[in-house]
Amino acid sequence: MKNSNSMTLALASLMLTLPSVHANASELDAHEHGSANLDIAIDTSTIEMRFESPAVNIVGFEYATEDEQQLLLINKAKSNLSNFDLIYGLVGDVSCQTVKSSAKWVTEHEAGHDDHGEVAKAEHAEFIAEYRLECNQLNNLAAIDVKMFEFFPAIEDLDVQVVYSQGQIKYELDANNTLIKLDR
Amino acid sequence: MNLRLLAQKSLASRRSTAILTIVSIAVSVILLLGVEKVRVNAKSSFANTISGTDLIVGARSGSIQLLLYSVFRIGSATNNISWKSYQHIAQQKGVKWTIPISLGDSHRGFRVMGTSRDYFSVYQYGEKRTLKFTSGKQFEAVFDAVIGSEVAKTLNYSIGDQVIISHGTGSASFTQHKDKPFVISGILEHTGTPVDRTVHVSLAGIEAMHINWNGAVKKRKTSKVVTESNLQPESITAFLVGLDSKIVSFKMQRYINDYAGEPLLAIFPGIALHELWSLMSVAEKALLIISLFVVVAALTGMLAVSLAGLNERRREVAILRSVGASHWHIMGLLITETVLLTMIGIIIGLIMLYSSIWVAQPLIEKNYGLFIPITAPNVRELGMISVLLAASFLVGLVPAYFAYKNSLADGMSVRS
Repeated sequence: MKNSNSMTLALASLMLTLPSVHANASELDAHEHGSANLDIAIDTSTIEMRFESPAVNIVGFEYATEDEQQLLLINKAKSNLSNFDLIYGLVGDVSCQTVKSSAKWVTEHEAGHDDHGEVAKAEHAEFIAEYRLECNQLNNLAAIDVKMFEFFPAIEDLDVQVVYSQGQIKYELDANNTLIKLDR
Repeated sequence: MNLRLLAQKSLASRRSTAILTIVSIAVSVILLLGVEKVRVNAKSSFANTISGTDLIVGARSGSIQLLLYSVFRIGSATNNISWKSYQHIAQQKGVKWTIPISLGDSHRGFRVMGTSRDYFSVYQYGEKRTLKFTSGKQFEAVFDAVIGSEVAKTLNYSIGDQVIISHGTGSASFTQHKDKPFVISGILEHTGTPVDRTVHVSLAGIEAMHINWNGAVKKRKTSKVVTESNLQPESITAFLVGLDSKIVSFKMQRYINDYAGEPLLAIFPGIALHELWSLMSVAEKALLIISLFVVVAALTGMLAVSLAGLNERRREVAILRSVGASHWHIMGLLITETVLLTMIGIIIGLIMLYSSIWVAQPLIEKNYGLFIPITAPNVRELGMISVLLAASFLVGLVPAYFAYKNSLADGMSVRS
């Protein structure tokens, strides 16, 4: 697509106006407004989490901005997202230390969509937050409470995948159902 | 005379309708509990088929499809993946082991799976159990085959027997690799998983069998000596991955899904299974609702019989009243009657259910790979039975009420 002539450009811009373009994204990179993903991997002493959401769920827009108000919003969201104890709660007799927590704003292009050049122009942006916790007595972790719905009400449903010693599970959370139970 | 005895005698005098009522209750119990047993066992047998595998990797398609063909041998792959991609991913940091899987051939209706020797030491099912041999050992030579317990039992095979593998997966496949028979080197213990119905050969075996064999046209060349060195496959169907640590799971999944060399799909078997259940839950609910309606129909039938019989039994009721039975006795009698009928229906239903499971067990296992053990009713099933009994009590109240009203109105007068 890189050496596109005017014909394909015209076609591409036509395609942009069609909502079906969104459906072309592969399963993992699906960009669905209102919905977000949370992957959790738990080992004997470590928890790693990765949260991914379309930016529109977090700040209400997805375009690159120079507007100060909007930049403030982005920064505020980043600081909220990277504050693990603010938006998650660990249930059970465990003591964990957050060794890494980061949140960043990623446009689709940066996220590795080079082969979908024209989609990148549609200005899809995402927030990606990553956390790593080192814990004692991780076997006592009974559940993880997801409190982010209070801060980001535009997230209607959160698809959670958990991989831990007892298996691989999937949860669908929403504002009324925020607990990820871990059977031991 | 106590109520139960009285109810028994009264029912005995109306044998035919009583028996029919019992049969309808029994049938509804068979359906209700049968559906429940199949549902629960199908779930646990699926869940027990694979354990300890972190990821399954195949050509890009749907996660459920990949799970079904790679682990359960249901359906087939849309595409193969190249040996190069497999090697590349197998050598990534964090990958502890991989098991390649190559499908597409069959032996008399049983699927043939090409794999590596690691399969026998690494593959786990149920509660982290590994495969064991009842006799023989894993394949060593190119044309060695290891068969599952069901294959051995059905086809009556033992170590040293020859098997001829057909191209394709139908039981009536016309193209057979007759020039290159395999020799059974080992028979696996019963696992209750699709492994029982699989013929395992080495990947080299799969390659060797297709050498000098050009599509549907067989070339009549004598099989030249094939050794493992020149038998590296070009592609495989899928592979299972075990990781060093759960922590790298998602990173590895993303790495594989974004792999530039080839469109690949990595899935978590547990999560794909979960997706399969949510897909099936609609059908499950439909089955449950149907069986509940059958129960309701049986109870309604019992009520109809009971009410219809009431008119004919005015004399019986009147006689009972004349010998000193109170209204309460009459009501108790009618309620006891329905509960008794239901209880007998439940017992007969259970006997019929268990005997039909006993009879059908080997057939179901052979045809569907589903083993339904004969186990005592679980809590949920006991709950269903208690609800049924409680419902029969409520149903009994209706004729009891009418009998009470009638006996008040009729008094001792008998009109017949």
